[in-house]
Amino acid sequence: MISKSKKGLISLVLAVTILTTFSNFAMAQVKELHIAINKSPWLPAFEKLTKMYEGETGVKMVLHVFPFMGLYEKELAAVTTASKTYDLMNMNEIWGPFFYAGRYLTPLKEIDPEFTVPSHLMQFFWEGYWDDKVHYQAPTGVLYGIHVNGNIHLLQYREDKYKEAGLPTPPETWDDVLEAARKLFDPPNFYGYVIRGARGDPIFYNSMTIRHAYNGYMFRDPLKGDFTITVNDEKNVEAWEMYARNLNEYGPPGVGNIGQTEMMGLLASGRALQAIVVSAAFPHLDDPEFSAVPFKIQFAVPPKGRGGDHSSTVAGWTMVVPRFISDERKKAALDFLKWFMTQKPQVEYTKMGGVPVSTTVFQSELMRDPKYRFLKATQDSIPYFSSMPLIPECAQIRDVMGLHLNRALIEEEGVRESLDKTAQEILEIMRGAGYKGVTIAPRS
Amino acid sequence: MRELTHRSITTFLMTLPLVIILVFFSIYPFVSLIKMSFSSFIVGKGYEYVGLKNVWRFIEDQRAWESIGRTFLYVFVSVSGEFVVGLGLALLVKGKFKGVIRTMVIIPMLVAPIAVGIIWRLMYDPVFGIINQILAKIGIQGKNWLADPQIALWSVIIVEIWQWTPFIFLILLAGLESLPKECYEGAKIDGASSWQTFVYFTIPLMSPIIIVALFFRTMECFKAFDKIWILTGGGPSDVTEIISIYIYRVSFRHNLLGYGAFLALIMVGFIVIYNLSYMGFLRRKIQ
Repeated sequence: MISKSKKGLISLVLAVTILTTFSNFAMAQVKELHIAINKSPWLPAFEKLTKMYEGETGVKMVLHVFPFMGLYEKELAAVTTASKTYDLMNMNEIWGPFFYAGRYLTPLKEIDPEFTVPSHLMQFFWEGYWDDKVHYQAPTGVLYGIHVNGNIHLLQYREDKYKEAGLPTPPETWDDVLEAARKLFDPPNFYGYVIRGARGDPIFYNSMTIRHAYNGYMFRDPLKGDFTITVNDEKNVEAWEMYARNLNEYGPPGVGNIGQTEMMGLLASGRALQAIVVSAAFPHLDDPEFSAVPFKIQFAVPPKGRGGDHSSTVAGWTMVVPRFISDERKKAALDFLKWFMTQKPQVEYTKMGGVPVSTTVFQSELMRDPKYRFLKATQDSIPYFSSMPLIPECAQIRDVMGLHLNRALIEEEGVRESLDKTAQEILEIMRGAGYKGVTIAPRS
Repeated sequence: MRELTHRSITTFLMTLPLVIILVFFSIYPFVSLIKMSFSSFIVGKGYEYVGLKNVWRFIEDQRAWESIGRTFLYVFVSVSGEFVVGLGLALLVKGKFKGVIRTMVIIPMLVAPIAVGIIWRLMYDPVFGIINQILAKIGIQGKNWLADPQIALWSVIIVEIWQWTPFIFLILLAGLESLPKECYEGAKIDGASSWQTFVYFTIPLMSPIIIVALFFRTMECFKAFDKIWILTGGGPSDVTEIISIYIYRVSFRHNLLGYGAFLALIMVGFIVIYNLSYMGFLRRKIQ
């Protein structure tokens, strides 16, 4: 005869066993994917795409939407507290290297050893990879994430105004852009060039395209581990003179505080001739609800600098899998990414207003549709993709450089002075972070 | 004795929820902040104790000192402006304009700071903004309100005053309407002018209420962040970078979480000292 207390104990053990088995079974079948993502112009397209995935697979997609830097704070809190909240995290390359180096993420090959990146995927300057040996995002590194937004910087200009003025299109060099800006400048009705000059990320990103076009880079050869600082060399000075002094002369007032919204507003209102803008702006500039000049803005590969070449800065987002979730959830997360990269979702994503990451879209009927004319410029820009220095300290470097570039733009500092101060601060950052042997290259 | 013990237990149980809330939402975070202040965040490892490293860093950090100075200027001018305008409005409205007018006056205070930032950023836009458009109509050259380093901070202060004057207005209006009428009648009989009545009766009688209003506004003003972030992000250059903005940049752009925590701790100390000194000064001046 079993005593009452023993009966109670047996019942308890049975109940716990049943519950645990049930919950393990439930966990094995992932019914929901939770994605941390930023609010952006392409978010509506991504939301629609996730509904498409839900329809095809039955997996519910839950998007946790945050503002740009708010997303970073949430993701930082999640990874540093081993949180299991998110299955996928959308990550900007500002903070990507910080997360890769911190081992907060799961390498994709760890989830599926057979996984390889399809050859039709555009290569956004190795964003998503991390090589510990060179401490940089390099093709020799481990793959942590897939680009989910093929956002790049393109020259967006009023082709009709160029043609009216008898100027060749598209402009091939920055000197061509400057000539057009000078010729068509008619303040306050029309501005020749818009600089996204607000302090910090806006000016840092916006100026990178022209700096790289002049072969003006931050470090000598970071892919090989050579972090000699070249940010204040003559090529950078020349690029910066063109940007902050020459082009700025034909720009709108208040350039020191112009952000992406103001820049797009000036283009969309028909008050500006041209600017370097992200390709993700394309649906808004053709939307008659938003734009006074729908279908009048053309897209082109950003021009060449003197002594340099074209350069299109990537401005993308990489989706990664955090380390602390279960293997089943990691697999479900990777399954979504694999699906995302195939042609049908990519074409649909573009139709919904997203920016594709696969070259298969270039074989679709969208290439013949004027609504998607940015695709041709994107395809032509592929050989010229460039990126910011992809190291854990890049967020700090961007912030420091964004301050000095803004000061140079509003003439609080001279061009050389601001670049020299930037070089000095980058040197302090790199040495403080433990990089050995970093120096500032003599100016050449 | 039994009753005393029972009452003690009851009292303890009644206050326990509040104590738990206080511990978890105030004391524990504050203790964590102190711990973080003497640590550095190492990628992949977490927080490591670094002793006084953050202290020396702060002493040598010119940008931190400049942003602290800017913060005090921002707070002093904003709160003073809110007080002058709020008191003026309260004197104007006292005893009249009930209902709709009073409700309209407090509307700015009801709008979220982020929304206020967005609205004013649009209004201040040098090309499309309504302020420059109105100025142009009356033949005055518009300004680069948020992009000119000479005036950007004052432009941001105007927004702060616009939004929070209603708060001081409400408190001062309540105070004015509760003042005893007999004092004013007596002053009138003695031939005191309006100004004399205001200086020798209104202000002294209102002093406790003024101190409370200024105290709360000063504390809140030190925490200003979202409006300024939307309006200028601390720019152009760093002319609108008050300490809250600088702490954010240090913590989440430079990833120096330990140093950011230390700066936050320093600000808590400055705020306490500032408030104690300010309130003592006000109390002596008014009384």
